[in-house]
Amino acid sequence: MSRNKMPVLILAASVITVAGPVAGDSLESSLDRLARQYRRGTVTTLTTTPGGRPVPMLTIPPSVDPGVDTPSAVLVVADPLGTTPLATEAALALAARLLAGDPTGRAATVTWIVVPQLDPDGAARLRGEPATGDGRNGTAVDDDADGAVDEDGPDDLDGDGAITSMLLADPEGEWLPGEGPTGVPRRADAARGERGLYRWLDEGRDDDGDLAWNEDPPGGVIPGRNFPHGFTHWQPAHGPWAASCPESRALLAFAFAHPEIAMVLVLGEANTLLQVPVAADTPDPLLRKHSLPRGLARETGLDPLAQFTVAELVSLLREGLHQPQLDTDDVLGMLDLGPAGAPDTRDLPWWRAASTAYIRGLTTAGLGASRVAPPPSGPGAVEEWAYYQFGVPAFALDFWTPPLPLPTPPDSALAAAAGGVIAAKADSAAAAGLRLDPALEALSLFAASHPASRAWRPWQETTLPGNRRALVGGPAPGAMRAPPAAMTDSLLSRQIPLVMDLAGWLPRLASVTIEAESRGGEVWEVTARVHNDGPLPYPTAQGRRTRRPEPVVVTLEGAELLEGLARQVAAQVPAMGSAPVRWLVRAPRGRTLVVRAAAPGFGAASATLQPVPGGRR
Amino acid sequence: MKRALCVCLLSLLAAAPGAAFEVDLGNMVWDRYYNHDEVVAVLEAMHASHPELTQLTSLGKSEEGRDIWCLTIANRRTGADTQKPGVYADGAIHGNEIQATEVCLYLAWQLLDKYGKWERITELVDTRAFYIVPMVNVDSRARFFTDPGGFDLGRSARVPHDDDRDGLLDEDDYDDLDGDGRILQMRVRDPFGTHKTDPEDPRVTVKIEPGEQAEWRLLGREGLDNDGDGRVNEDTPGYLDLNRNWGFQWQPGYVQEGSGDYPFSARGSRAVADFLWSHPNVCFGFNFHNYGGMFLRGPGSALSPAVPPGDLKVFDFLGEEGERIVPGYRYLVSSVDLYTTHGDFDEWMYQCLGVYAFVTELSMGSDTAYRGHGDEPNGEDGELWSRHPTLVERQKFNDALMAGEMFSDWKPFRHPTYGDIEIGGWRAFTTRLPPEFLLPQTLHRNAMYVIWTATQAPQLSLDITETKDLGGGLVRVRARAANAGALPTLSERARDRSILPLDTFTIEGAGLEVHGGGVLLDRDFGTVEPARHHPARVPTWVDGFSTREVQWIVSGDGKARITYAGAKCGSRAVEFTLP
Repeated sequence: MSRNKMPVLILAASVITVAGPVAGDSLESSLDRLARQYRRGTVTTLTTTPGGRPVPMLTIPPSVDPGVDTPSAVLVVADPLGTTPLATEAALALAARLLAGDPTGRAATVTWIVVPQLDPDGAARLRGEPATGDGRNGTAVDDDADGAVDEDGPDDLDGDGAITSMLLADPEGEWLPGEGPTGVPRRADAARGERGLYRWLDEGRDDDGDLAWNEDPPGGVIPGRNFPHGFTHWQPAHGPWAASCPESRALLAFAFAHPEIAMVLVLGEANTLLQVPVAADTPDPLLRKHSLPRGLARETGLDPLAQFTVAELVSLLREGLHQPQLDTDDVLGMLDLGPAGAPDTRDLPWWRAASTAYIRGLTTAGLGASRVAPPPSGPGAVEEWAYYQFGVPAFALDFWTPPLPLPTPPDSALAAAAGGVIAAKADSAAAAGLRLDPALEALSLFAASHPASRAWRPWQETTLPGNRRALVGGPAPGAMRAPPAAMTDSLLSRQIPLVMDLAGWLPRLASVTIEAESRGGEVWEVTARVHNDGPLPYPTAQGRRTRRPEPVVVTLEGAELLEGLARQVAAQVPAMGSAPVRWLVRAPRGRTLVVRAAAPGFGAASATLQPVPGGRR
Repeated sequence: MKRALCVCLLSLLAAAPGAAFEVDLGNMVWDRYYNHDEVVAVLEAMHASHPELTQLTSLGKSEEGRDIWCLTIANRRTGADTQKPGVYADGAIHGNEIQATEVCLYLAWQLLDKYGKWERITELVDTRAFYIVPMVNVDSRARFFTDPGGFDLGRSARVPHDDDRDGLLDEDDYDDLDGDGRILQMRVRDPFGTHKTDPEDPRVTVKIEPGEQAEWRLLGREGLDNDGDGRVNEDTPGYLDLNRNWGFQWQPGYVQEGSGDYPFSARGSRAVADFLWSHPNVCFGFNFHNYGGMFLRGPGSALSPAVPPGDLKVFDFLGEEGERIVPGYRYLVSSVDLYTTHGDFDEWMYQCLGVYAFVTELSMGSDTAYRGHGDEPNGEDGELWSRHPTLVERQKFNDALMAGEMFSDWKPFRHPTYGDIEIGGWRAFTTRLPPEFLLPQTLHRNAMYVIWTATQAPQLSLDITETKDLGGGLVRVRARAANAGALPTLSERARDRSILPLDTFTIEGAGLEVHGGGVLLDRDFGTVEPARHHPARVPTWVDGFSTREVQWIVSGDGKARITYAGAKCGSRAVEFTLP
C-alpha cells in the first residue's frame, strides 16, 4: 500500500464511494476538499502527534436552522486505536453525507464535529512497510525497561510487507499448527496425548538478544487506551497515566471547552450497540446496602456500622446534613463508591432501545447476518470516558468483521442482546482449550473464500538466527476489521445512515411553557415546564452523577419574586416529558412574565404570559 | 569550600504599597511569612549569590500568568545535577498552606548558607541535586497575602468552576463586609439556634448540649448572596484541588471532589509533573502542606496497590526517623489513618515514577495549646485529634502569647439578608498557620529532615573483590557495589512495574572477552544468577544499606574497567589490569 495514496471520494447525490486507503497525512487535505466542495464546514487541527502528524477535525454546522445560538453537537471520533482504516473511511463518508445535506430530522439540526483519525501515527504504522497493527503513536518508549528504546520490534521475516504471526519451534511451547496453509493454531491437549511444539508470537526476531521477542517495538502509546475511565497503569502501550499522550489530552481539553457536545460516537473496533455493556461483577449501588464513610457518620450522628439503602440515606442525610435538596446522586457521591463499573441501571432502558433500533436497521439494510463479535470497549477507551466521565450518551460502532460460517454457539444471552446479528465471540474457552478461536477460524475461512483480500497469510517455514525453525503466517494486521475494498462502499452506504440516525436519540429542549394560578390579588403561583421531546432524559442518569453536563437554567422576569429564585435549575428533564419549576410572584395586572430555559447540549426556549386575575392559564 | 555569602540587596515593592523589601541572605529573618514577590526576590537573590550552585528555572506559567519557579541546588563543578541523586521538595500546592513555602525557602537557604561551613551540607550540595519549588499554587498563595481571606480560604487553583451547578462560574465569592481586609465568621442571635457563648470566654461560641438554651446561629464565612440564589458564598473561585489532579488513579469529580477535568488539567501540577518526568534522578519527594503534624504516604485509596515489602521498609525507616527529627509529627498512611484520596502527589510520585514521597502536614494544633503539666488532654475521639486545643485554650494562648492578635472580636454589622449580625473570629494567619515566633523551629526541623533524607539517597562505592586466575587463560573477576544510603538505587515499585531500567554493572576492555557473568548469589559457593542477555552488562540494583556483587568469567589481557550506573545513583567506575 502506498503511504501517500490519497483517498478518492466520489460524491454523487447520497451515494458515497470511498476507495483506497486513507492516508493520515492526507486527511487534512481530504477534509479541506470536502469543506470547499460544499462550502460548509471548518477544518481545524486538534493537535499534532508525537510522530509529527496533524490530527484534523471537521466541524459541520447544522443543515437546518436549529433555532438556538449554540446547537447541540455530536462528537465523532474515529479510529482511536489506529487499527481500523474502515472507521476513518466511515467518518469521511459520514462527513460527506452531512455536508451534502443528506441528514434529516435531528441529525440536521445539530453540529457534527468529526475527528476522522485520532491516532494517525498508529494508522500510518498499519499502512507502513511492513504493515504493523499495534496502533502505537510515535512516542519513543522503553517498553522493556532495559535502557534502550524501540530496539526490538517485530520483523517481516517472510518479506510479505506485513507483520503477521509466528509459531516458533520451542520444546516448551503450548501450540500446535492448524491444518493446511490457512490453519488456525490450537493449544495442545495433553489429555489427548498431544505435546506442544510452538510458541505463538508476533512475527519477528530477538533483535537485541535478550531472549524476548518483539518486546520493545517502535512507538509508544495507543491514544484510544489513554482516556481516564478504566485506565490501566503499567500496561504496554497504554501510557504512564491517563491523558499522558497529546492526542487524548487534546480531545479531552476540546470536549470540556465545548459543553454543547451532547453525544459522542466512536467509530472503531468496539460496538456498544450490538452488545450493550452490562454489569459483570459490580452490583448496582442503588440495589445494595451501604455503610457510611467514617467522617460522614460522625458528622451526621449515624451508626458507622449500620447498612443503609441509598433511598434510606437520602432521607437520613437530608435531615442529618440539613440539606433538604439532597438527591440520590448526591448521596452516591458521598459513599466512597469509586468510579462506576457499569452503566447506571437507569440508563439501560434507552441504551437497549437504541441498540434494538440499530440492530433492526442493520437487518433492514441486509447486514443482519452473523459475524464475528467486535471486542468490548477496552480500558481507557474514548467511549467509556464519554459516558462515565463526560456524562453524555456515547456509543462505539464498528462496520465489519468476518462472517461466521458456523451455527451460533449456545450463548443465549449474547444472542438475545444482539438480536441475532452477532453469534460468537472470541471466548476464553477457545483460548484455553480445544476449540479453535472462532473469530480466527472465521477470518481464515473468509480469507480462503476471498483470496484477493490477503487477510490470512499462508504459513511458511522460515529459519531464525540460531537455526530456530518457525512458521510465519496467519491473520494480516487489521484484517479482522478490514473488508475487501470492493465491499467498503456497500458496507458504509448502508451503515452511515444508521450513524446519523443516532442523533435522533438526543434529548432536545423543545419548549418551555408557563402558566400562572392566582393566589389572590396580584399574587400568582407561576409554573414553568421545560419540555424534552427527545427519547433520552437530559442529562442521563450517569450525567447527573458526573455533574458535568451543564444544568438546565430557568429564569423568570417581569414579576416580583415572593418564593423561588430568579434563576432556578431543572435537575433532570425526563425523556419525552417535562420538568416543572415553580415560583410565587407578585405581578400587577397586565404585566408580561417571561420565562427562559437553556442548557448547552440540550437547547433553549422561552415563553411569555400575561396572568389573568382569577384565572389559570 | 568556603564561600562568603554574598549579601544581595534587592529592592522591590512588597505587598503594602510603598514598602520596600530588601533581601539580605546573610541575615535572613525566618520568623515571618514572605509574600509572592518577596519569595521570588529571595529565590533570585539566592541564584545571584550562588550562580555556580544554583539554577533558577520557571517550570511554566500559572492560570493567572505567574511563574512557577524551581530552584535547583547542585554544585555544577562536581557534575551535572541529573547525574546525581535528586531530592525534590515543593510547597503551597494548596494556596492557603503558606508556611510550606517558607520551609522550601529555608531549606534552600540552609543548603546555600551552610555550604562551605558545615561539612555534611557541603558534601550534599556537591553530590546531590535538590529541586525546590516553593509555590506550586502560586496564584492562590499570592492572593492569600493580598486579598481579604481566612486561614482555610484559597486552597484551590484559580480554575473557574461551577460549584453550585447553576451554570455560572465563581459568581458568589466571600465578601469583606466590614472592610477590615479579612473574611471572618458571621453569627446572629437566635434563641432557637445551635450555639451559645462559652461561659469561660465570651469570644468563644460553642455548640449547645441537649436541653441547653441557644443564643446564636452560625452563618458561616463573611459574605453576601451575590447572585440572589438564596445562598451565601456557595460558588467561590475554583475549585480545582491541585493535590487531586495527579495522574495515578485519578478519578473524576463525582468520585474525587476537585480533581479537575482530567489528570494534569491544571497548569501547576502539569508543570511539576513534566519536570519530574524528565528528572529520573529524583529519588525522594516532599510535598509540604498544613496541617496536623504528619508524614503521610500512600496508598491513598483502596484502588491503589499495596506498597511492596522492600519499599515498606524504606518508608518506615524514613518515616520513623522523621518522627524523631520533628517531634510530635507522626508517620501515617493516608487512606488508613486519615481518609481516601485519589490523584494526589505522593501516590503519583511513588506509583508512576517509583519515587518515594511524603506529604508533610506542617504544624499542629498543639502548637497553640495552653496547657500546664498535668492538664488533661481535651481531645475528641482519638489520639490523632487529641492534640487540638479547645477554642478557650487557644484564646488563652492568644491572650498570653500573641497579645490578642490572632482573633478579631465580634462586632455588630447590619447584613442585608440576615439583619443585625456579628462578625468576628480567627484571623487568616492563625489556626493552620503557626504564629510567626513558632515558625523558625517548624522550618528548621522540617528542612533538616529533608536534608537528612538526602543523606539517605543511594550512596555507592565500588570495589573489585577478586581477580582469580582459573587457568587456561580464564579469569574470574568479582566486583561489589555497596550502598551506604537507606534508599535502594531503585525502588521495588520502579522494578516490579518496569518504570525505569535496572542499573547496570558493566565490565569492558579492549582486550577483554566476557564468557559469562551475573549477580553473585552466594560468594562462598560461587552461585550466580546469570545475565544471559549480555553477560558483560549485568542488570541489577542495590538495596539500601546493602551490597551487590557480580562475577564475570573473562579472558584477555590489558586494562579493564568496571562501571556501576543507574538513573538514581549516578555512576562509579574502577579500572584494573587483567593478570
